[in-house]
Amino acid sequence: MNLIVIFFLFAYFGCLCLSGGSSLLQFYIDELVVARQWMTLEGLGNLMAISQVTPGPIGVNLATFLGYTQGGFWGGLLATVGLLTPSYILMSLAVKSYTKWHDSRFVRSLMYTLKPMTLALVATALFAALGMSVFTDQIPFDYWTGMVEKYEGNFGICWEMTPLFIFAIVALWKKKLSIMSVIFISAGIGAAIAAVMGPASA
Amino acid sequence: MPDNNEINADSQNVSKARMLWLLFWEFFKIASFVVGGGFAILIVAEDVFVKKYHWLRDGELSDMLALIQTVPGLTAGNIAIYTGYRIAGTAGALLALTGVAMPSFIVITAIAAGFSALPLDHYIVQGAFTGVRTAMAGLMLVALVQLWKSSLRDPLQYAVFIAGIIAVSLFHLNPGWLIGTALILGPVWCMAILRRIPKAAEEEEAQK
Repeated sequence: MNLIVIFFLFAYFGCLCLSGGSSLLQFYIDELVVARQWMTLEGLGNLMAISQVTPGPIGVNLATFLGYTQGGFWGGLLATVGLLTPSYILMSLAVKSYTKWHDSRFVRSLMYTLKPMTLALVATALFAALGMSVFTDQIPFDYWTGMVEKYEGNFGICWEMTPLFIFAIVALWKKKLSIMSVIFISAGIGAAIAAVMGPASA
Repeated sequence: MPDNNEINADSQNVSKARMLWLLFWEFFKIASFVVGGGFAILIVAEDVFVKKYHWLRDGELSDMLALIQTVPGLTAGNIAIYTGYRIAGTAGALLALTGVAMPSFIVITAIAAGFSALPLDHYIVQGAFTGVRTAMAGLMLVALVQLWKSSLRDPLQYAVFIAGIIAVSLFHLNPGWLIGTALILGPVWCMAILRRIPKAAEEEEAQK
């Protein structure tokens, strides 16, 4: 039963992940962390960190990893197959009718609103990533705007991580270092900071 | 490299079975050695299938970037499907896609199997993870800025972007509903109200 859920859940993600999977993280947060509570946000962040530094495209790595944690070997397999099946069907159809697809007024009108919406999901995923790195907790937008009355989180700035954040942005923006080097350097600095600050900081 | 020429020489009359095998194997190798996102794969795949095998036009994959990004799916997966389909039809697409997913599957399954044995609760390991998450936040910020120009080009697109952020951050709406709304809003706005399609960003960039 669980395996069937995994397959269709990832097929659903596969249908909706536009712009090459950049909005996928927001779907994982919403569906796997918030709605189904299969893992914590930090847990998802850790799986993503490992997927980023292991060989293979990060999207496939993360899908396999998420599937494995829920359903073992078959869970990993079905999550990967589920995620890639929609694009296999849609991409084959698109290449077959490429000229029609490319010039299609309908497809272009779809992209007109899909692109900004996808970007919004990239932005919210970025907020989530900030909430588990340079901030000590998730950014409480709903509390700040008065959507919820009571705030029980622990939001603050994690000062020791801000220089690393700025370093990562500058290195990636100026293309001085590859993504891989930035990630490994950040892992090293993160470990060093933890070692200096001692076990209590965690 | 000398062996490149040999493969070039007989690439004109390779059997279909060998072609399928090469699609699988080349994508398996590409995915194994390219770490990170999909664009690195595009560059390597172009190198292999254009220069080594002459199975794709020069610059074909880069030209198809708009299509690869438009169709839902991972960039790496869509590149494999496109290349495989162009070279050997649906079977080629399936083999190329399997090749691109296989290394991840093997490596991650091995890591996940031993995941519980790793000392993840150790504070130094946690520190390393926090470091990587910080780098990822930086990576996502850079990606956001790079996508900004091609995604937000007029007031309605800004409105959709801001509405999307508010819907997720404040109202905790399911992103699936938002994509669904965007799918309806685009054609309704462009074809029924505006009666013209704003020029796509890729077209303008391609003309440069």
